[in-house]
Amino acid sequence: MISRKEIDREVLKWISEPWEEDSERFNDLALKIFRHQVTHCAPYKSFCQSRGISSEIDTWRDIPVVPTTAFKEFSLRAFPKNYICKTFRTSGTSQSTKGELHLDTLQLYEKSLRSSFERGLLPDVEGSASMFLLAPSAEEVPDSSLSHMFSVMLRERGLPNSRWLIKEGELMRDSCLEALNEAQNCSHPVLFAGAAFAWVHLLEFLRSCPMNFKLSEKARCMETGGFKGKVREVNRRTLYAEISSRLGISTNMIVNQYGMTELGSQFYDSNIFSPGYPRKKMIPPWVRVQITDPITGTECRLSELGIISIFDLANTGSILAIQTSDVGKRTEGGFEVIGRSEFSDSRGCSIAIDEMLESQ
Amino acid sequence: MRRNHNREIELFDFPFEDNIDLLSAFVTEWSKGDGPIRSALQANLPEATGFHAETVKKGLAVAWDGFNGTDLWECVERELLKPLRTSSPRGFRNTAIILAGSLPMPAWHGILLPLALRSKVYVKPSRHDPVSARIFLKALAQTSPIHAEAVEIAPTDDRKSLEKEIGKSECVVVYGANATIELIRCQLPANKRLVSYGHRISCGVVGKIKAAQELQEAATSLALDIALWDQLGCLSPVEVFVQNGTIDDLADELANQLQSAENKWPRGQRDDLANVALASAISDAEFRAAANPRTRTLVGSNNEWVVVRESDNRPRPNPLNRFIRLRPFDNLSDLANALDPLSRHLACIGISDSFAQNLEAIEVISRARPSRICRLGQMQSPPFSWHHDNQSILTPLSIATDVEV
Repeated sequence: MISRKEIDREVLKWISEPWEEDSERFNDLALKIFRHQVTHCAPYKSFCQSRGISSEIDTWRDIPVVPTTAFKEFSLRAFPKNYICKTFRTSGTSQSTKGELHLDTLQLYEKSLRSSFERGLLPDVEGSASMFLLAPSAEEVPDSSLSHMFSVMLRERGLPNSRWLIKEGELMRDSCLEALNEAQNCSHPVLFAGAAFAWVHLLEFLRSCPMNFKLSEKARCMETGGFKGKVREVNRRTLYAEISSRLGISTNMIVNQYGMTELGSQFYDSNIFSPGYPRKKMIPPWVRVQITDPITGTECRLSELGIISIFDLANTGSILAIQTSDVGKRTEGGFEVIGRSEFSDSRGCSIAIDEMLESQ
Repeated sequence: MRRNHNREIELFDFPFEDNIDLLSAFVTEWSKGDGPIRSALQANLPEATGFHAETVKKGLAVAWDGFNGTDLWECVERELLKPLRTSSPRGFRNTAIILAGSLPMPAWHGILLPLALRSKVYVKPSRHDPVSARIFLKALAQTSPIHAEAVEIAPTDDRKSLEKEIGKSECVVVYGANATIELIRCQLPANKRLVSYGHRISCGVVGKIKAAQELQEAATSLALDIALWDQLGCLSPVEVFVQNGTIDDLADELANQLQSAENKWPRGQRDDLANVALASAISDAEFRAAANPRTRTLVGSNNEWVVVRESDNRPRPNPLNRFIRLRPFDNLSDLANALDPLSRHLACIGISDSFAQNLEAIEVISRARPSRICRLGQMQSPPFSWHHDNQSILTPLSIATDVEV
């Protein structure tokens, strides 16, 4: 069996290259990673056995997918515990169980996040950009994968005036206003990025002032994640319309990132990379996105709604095949996220147990 | 809606007893299983809410068949007349009601109760049930036009008129998610009354059962409680705590009974998000079952129902839509610990016959502060005046005046 180091080397090489589809290469690497994981991750081995799947399969499509919720209850890693160098945790209060992604190396993780980030947000930027981050710093929340991602990009592509705009759970209002003023008058690229609920806080603050800006043409915005349990819920269209009007930026320069703690790779809207074409989530060549019927488990056809599963070769140390709780559909050359079931609107009056635990 | 200022004054000054008499007659009408009100709901709710027609029919029968007009009078006596030394209890001039969810019962009680206090009512229907409030109003107009004149129903999505009516109302009643309630609470001036009914859960408790007949009865009753309203109501059990020694047999029998319930009262429509949530929860249980053989997952052929026999007492998300977790406990101390995290969120605890005579068990269960403790099979049929969210139903809508002279 090929060693983990060799697997990592091969995946790293692919991620370092320009994005290019290669089905054979994907299948070959996916099967190698699967064999490694089914051998070295005991809970995953039991799961595969319960499904009658051995390590000898021919196609990545037969790899059993693991629900993201399993990361809350099992240590899903294919390496010894004492090799852990970093653990990212899903959000939530101390009362609810958090999902954990353990890593024994950050090299692949950071290479993957950088490649997608640059393609989705900085495809037209040669050098560095001012990055204003609506998130707490990675030092403040070392187990946040989002803050880690921002810190990597700050280090790699951030200009010196880049900074974090949330500290100890509070929006740093003066710093936000300074950043927005800087972004109005600068000639270099500027990025405002953060979780959707942080954007809602910023917009509420600007509304209360009230203040409007006109950001430079090289400015862009990124939002990610949901709102549950944070602030009032806002649909994405409304959010973008308000970002656009308050910050004076075209909605074509606002990008959604779809990602999750359990994954090494992320997905960005295509609107900055491919302006003028319909918005879709771009899929890195080392990732496959499968949409399946939630009842039958069969793969959906183009545009049919189903449950999103992700096969991510950057997840060499944990599990490469992840089943999300999200609804999506395949589109030409990408996919769309239609909804996240954890944020679904209740038809009834029964509280969600996770919401209940959050409110303890 | 047409505004008639004189009518408003008429209702507010209408004799209290006559007012309750008229509404009691209306309650009697809606309680009739073969009456026009029930027929109208049965005809319209399935398409509007997605519930299967048979589920609607059974759900309404279980909820309302035992009611009649004296229930309202008893409630008035207990909550309003006995505690006060005044012959004419008062409500607010205007009450705004914001409804949520797709179950009709909260809508009907929600609109009726302020009318009992002679308050004019502005209703914002739930977007998941645009018909119940309208059927209520139409039926009310047949029995009591003066009350029907006092009810105004908002267009479902008219946010501006909702904000205007909330601004005008002296009392606001909100049903819905905690986030919605908090949002409205923040926006209301301190001098307005807010009465809120948040989302809750219910659960079952089954003690040790030895006889096969008793096991089957417990499973049949539970299946009814779970199947009605597709488990979306706050009175539907989402977890059942089962004493060890009974849990595996109950899981198997409950699966049988849920299939039988599906045959009689088929599950309604589920949207894509609900289907995905269900599939995710099944995958999660199957992953855990692979690692621990004591965890078992029993699933209907098209995910119509799911029974997960858990091997530990960890609370986990429940996607509803007839998905039930059975969680084991050994003794009452275990049970108390398992119920403790749920204690501020419980609407109802249904208990098996094997526990119904066990006073110590009932004491432990009542410490979890549910609004109701009842037998299994009766979770969906609360009394008319049940303490929804642990509160009286008329008192919060009234203006209390202590007459001390």
